[in-house]
Amino acid sequence: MRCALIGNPSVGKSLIFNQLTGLGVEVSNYPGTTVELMQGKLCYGGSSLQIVDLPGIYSMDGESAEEELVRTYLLTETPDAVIAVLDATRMERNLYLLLQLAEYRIPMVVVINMIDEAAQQGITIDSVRLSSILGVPVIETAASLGKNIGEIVPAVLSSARPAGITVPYTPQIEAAIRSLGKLYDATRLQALMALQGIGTSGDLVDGARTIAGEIESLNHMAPHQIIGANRHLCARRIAADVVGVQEPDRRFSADRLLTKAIPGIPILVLVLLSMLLIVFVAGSFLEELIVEVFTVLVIEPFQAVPLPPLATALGMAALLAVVSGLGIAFPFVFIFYILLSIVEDTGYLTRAAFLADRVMHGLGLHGGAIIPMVMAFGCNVPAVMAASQLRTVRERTIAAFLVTMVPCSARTVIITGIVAAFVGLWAALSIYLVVLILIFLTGILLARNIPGGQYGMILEMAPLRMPDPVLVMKKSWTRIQEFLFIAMPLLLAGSVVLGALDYYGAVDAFSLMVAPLSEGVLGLPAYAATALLFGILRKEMAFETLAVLSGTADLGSVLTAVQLYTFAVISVLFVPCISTIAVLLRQMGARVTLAVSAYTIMLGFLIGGLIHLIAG
Amino acid sequence: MECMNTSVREDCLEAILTLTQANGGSVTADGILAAVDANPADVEACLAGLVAEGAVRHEESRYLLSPEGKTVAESVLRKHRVLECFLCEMLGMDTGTASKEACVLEHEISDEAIDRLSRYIERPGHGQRRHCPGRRHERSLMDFAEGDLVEITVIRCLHRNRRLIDLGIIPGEQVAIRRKLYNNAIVVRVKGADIALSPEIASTVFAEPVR
Repeated sequence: MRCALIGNPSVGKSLIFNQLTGLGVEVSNYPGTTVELMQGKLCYGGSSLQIVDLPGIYSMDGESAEEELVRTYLLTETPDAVIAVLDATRMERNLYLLLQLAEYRIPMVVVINMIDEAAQQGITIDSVRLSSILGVPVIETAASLGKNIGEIVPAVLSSARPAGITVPYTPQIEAAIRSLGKLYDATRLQALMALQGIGTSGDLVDGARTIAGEIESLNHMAPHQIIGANRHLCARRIAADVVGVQEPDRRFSADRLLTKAIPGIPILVLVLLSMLLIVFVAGSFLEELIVEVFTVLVIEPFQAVPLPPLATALGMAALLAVVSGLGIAFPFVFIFYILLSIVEDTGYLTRAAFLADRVMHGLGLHGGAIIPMVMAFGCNVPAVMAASQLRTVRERTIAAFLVTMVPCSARTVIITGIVAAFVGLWAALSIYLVVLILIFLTGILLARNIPGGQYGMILEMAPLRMPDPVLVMKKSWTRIQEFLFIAMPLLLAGSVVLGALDYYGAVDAFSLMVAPLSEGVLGLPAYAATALLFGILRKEMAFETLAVLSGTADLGSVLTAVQLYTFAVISVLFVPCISTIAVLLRQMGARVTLAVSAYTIMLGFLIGGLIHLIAG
Repeated sequence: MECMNTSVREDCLEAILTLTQANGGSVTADGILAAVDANPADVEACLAGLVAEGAVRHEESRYLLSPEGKTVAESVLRKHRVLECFLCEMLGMDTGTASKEACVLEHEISDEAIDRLSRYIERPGHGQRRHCPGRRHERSLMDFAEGDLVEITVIRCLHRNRRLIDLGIIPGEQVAIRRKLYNNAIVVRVKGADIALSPEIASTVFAEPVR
């Protein structure tokens, strides 16, 4: 039996899913989309139940990737039952989605979650009454306390049934539904979707368009507006029936501080800075630890084994890649993802988006784009995917440029490993400043020159709450898998290729070739240019390659402070790594990818050259 | 060189007024050039002319309307809105075309014709839903203060922002302004949820105060 969880965003769906399925969850991208689907299995009383956690949505008829996915999923892979999760504190808005879901006539169980939070706010809900209105089982839960979660599965197995409620639409819509039913044999659901321009049957949608046009000219309102208003009215009546009169909530809300310009913006800056600083400090500490342990336990024993020289060279290259990969993945990327998940799950990220709206407007974006920008500090790859969800080509293009310029964890490693270690902490932080300034300038430049309209942000502020530690870890783990399974193999392959090239002397030849450019323009030794080239495979490889090619880990003894600084700035700025290029190509197309790559190469060398000119 | 073209002249005044409302004060020559659909040389000449005759003040590369200039600009803007509303809501033209058409007609139409058209549009019997942005008391969500409770009357360009409907931001709904930032980004409370809106979205949602 298959069963899907559906609900508004941040109603505690993931937490319920988590408590129902435990570990052993499979994450997959729905075919053709970047939206993630979580699937899990559980056994109850001898029957096995497969549960899918669908992404949080506001409407079944919307246009966002998530909304389209949920619609397609319910229509093409219709589950045997759905669990509709409602937020007890926002019943009316949640009922709006439930009424749409009821039109799919799929057996249903309703879960009213966060009943504890509602009680604290003085909201009472008559779930027995709701159950009799809807004709389906209604369960009150508090997922954060684990309350009543155990009742969900038995209810699904024993008494899930299609909801017996129909939204009464205005006479014209009802008439349209009847005519479409007669003419095209469309069900109520199909007719309603077709009136809003949704559907796969060409004839039906064409026919509905004619009727929709008439309705619109009579009412001066598009059918989707009328349908939406009717559903809201119906939801309001039900809510009035089942939700008790609410005392105004006079408790202190942190939003009094968080969303005000002062102290909201200083808090935002502080939050972002401390996230970076924690990653920076804790990351370098842990990285050192990992590298040391690995060197003692694996690399030194490997060097002691007598092997042919080529095998030793390749083996060493592969081992170094594994060390550095692990040295980035866990200390930097994982810590960042944990922090990001915490910020996300507390609901703070939506406040950040609201506060950043103005600044982002200057860059041709809006507050919603802060989310990919912050994600990019961990890894550019998922950030590009998030940026491709923005609504217009203009926004997507600008975001593609800016996101790929954000220093990701791998670039943090270069900054800590080269600049913080051999030049100084302040010099390292100044690189962030340089990059941020360049991001702003690029954004302002692009916003002025890329034509196209600007959409604004319409964003629900997620309720502020304590994040669940298990959920945070699980989310971070899901995210880091992408790094481990996409980036690590590339890193390994790249290292082995480099090892082989080095062994056969190809690297030296290349160094000779680029020597004039490297030494003349950038003031760097030729092997540094080779190292930069390998940085394209994986950013942090620029750092390791530099160490390998210079023949010492103590870079300070072979390169001057200015050279190290220049090297770090260039490798942070120029060309996104190969995985980012791949995902840019998939999400944004060849033109944008090419433009981003060319622009960042140019920028890297320009700034590198400038530094050499001024300080070198 | 003097500005001979009344429509460019009026367009300049209208542009300064709308840009002032949108940006909260700083209107530059570039902004006006971008907003007025005419030969840039003509626009510049007109601006110079307007400054010379005192309708516009030019201070530190910013343009400000004098009281006389403002009266003219408001009258043109009102004509534009009434015409746009009429073309769009009653004749069924799409918003973009209606706006362009209104830009041409606004300079020729008389005050009396506009008053009569405006009253005609508001006459009962044309449906209660038809609140046009040309009405005198029309205020967008941006024009209210933190803590105000308002009822939404009309939303422009709703087809572009379907999510507003799904979140319950629809005509007839009462919403509270929870937060308003200096750039007019706002947070409204709708059906128990706080929704953040960018200024350009908030400016398309019109409302009346609830007493």
